[in-house]
Amino acid sequence: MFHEFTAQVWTPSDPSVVITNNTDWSIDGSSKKIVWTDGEDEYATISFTAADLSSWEEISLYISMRDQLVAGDIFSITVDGNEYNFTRSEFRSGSWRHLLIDCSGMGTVSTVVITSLVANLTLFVDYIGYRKVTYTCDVDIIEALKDHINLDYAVTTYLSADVSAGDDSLSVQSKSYINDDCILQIDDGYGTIETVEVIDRDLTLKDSITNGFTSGDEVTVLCPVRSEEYDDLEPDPICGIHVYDVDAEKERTVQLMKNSSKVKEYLGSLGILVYIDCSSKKKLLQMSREFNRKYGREFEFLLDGELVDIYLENAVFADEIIGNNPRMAYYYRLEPQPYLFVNTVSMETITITVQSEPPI
Amino acid sequence: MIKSELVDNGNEFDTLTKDIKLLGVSISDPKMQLYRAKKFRDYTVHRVEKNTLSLKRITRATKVIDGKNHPPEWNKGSITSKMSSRQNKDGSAEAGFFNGSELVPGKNITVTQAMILQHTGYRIPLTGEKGARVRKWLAWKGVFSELSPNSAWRKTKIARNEGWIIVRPRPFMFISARLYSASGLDEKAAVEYMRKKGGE
Repeated sequence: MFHEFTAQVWTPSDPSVVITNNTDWSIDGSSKKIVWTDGEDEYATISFTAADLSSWEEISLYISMRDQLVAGDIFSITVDGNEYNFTRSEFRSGSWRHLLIDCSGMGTVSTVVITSLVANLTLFVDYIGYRKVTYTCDVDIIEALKDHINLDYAVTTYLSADVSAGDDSLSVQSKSYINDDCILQIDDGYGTIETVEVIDRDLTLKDSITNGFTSGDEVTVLCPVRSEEYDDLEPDPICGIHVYDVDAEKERTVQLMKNSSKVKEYLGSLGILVYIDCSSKKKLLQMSREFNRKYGREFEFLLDGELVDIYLENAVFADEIIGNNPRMAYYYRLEPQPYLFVNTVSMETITITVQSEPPI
Repeated sequence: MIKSELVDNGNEFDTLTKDIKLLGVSISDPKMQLYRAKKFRDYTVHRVEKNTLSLKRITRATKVIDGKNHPPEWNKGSITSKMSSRQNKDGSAEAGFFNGSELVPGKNITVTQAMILQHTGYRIPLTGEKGARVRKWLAWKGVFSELSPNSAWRKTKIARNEGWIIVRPRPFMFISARLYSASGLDEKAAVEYMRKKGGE
């Protein structure tokens, strides 16, 4: 389970420290770029809604650094009164480093401060939050996959008549590839977007529409991604996620933090079936090719604050055989994030008292 | 005492040398691959028949239509016994091979198609033009119930307002392969073959 710090406000300590949004180089789509120019000991403060970290395991963030020739400490991160220094050797050129800081001994925190210890420095910071692995780690995978997978059914039409809030049906210009049970998204082009469930080709709505729209507004057929606990309407098309196997193997690993190390335990892999099911074979083939290009044999997605890889084990195509919809099935296997076994904190001060034995 | 140890070590070395030679011969032997495939096939059939692969329960619709309640569908799991092994031209072997044209007894569907559907899961529409034909057939089978979501009816019947017959995936081959590999039975089969080839 991961929570990104909410309501983040990034404030520079001096005008020489420039913080900008960056979408070219990012983990989740948008990162912060911090540039220090002649700014030694200047800092950037990240303020956010206060979070009690005492019951969480670690602060998680991604950092990328522009090349530096400085050998010593380059920047520091201060959280809850603790300062952690970083050197150039901890980062590789042109790549992100996933950084973990043990927070189990911290209290309520509302700021993280990043201070440059050199005159000129450029850092990218992304996806900062706090995490903990619980027994819902399997559900975390399913939810993360639901957030990540996105398929385009590529069918768009337009309302052919005005619709008012509370109406129970729609009319559109074309019903091509709009199936009996499907999900439609209506967009008025001015910021009002509503998703509705349709239960037949007369475009009867499962629930009344809540906004009014006018004739000509855009209507898009969606291919929603749903897991096993969806409601009774199974839209057509659908991308479904189904757990078909749970492995009971256990394996320990050591996870390094900035301020400690933790022994963690993998609790067995999960067999995950991702399928695309659609009454139109033409549309199914189109979406399966899209899936293969975007995901396919191996892909990365964000799980518990971290980019992880998932690998394809098998893929099977089931044509229409007994009146069923054609279906493409992809079989993946992935181990959830490891569960905490033992938390260790490195010793900072050790005092040894030596006392001579009395003479015999 | 010393002599005895030397003799024992000599025997162990002889056994090791013999095993290494045997390994070299066996690894390149296509019959060994076929032997392993057959072992896996037998294991899978057995696990399915004993219902020990934690497969999804069969749906109430299938129960009613077919009158059976044992995964992975039809004929109390014995459909998987039609699985066979075969040798490929490159020397490898396949364990999950089904005869492409053989029909499931009493059905107009081949065993291969049935196994594919079991692995992917499937759904049949009950709405629209296609669904109307299915509903008519289901009605003839006496499968539909009136709306009564909490009644015991629903365990064996399909409510009239349902949009789909949904059969969840039961990819028994993949689950079986994982369990077979994790339990070390594949290595055991390879050793068994080598021992047999070595005449022990």
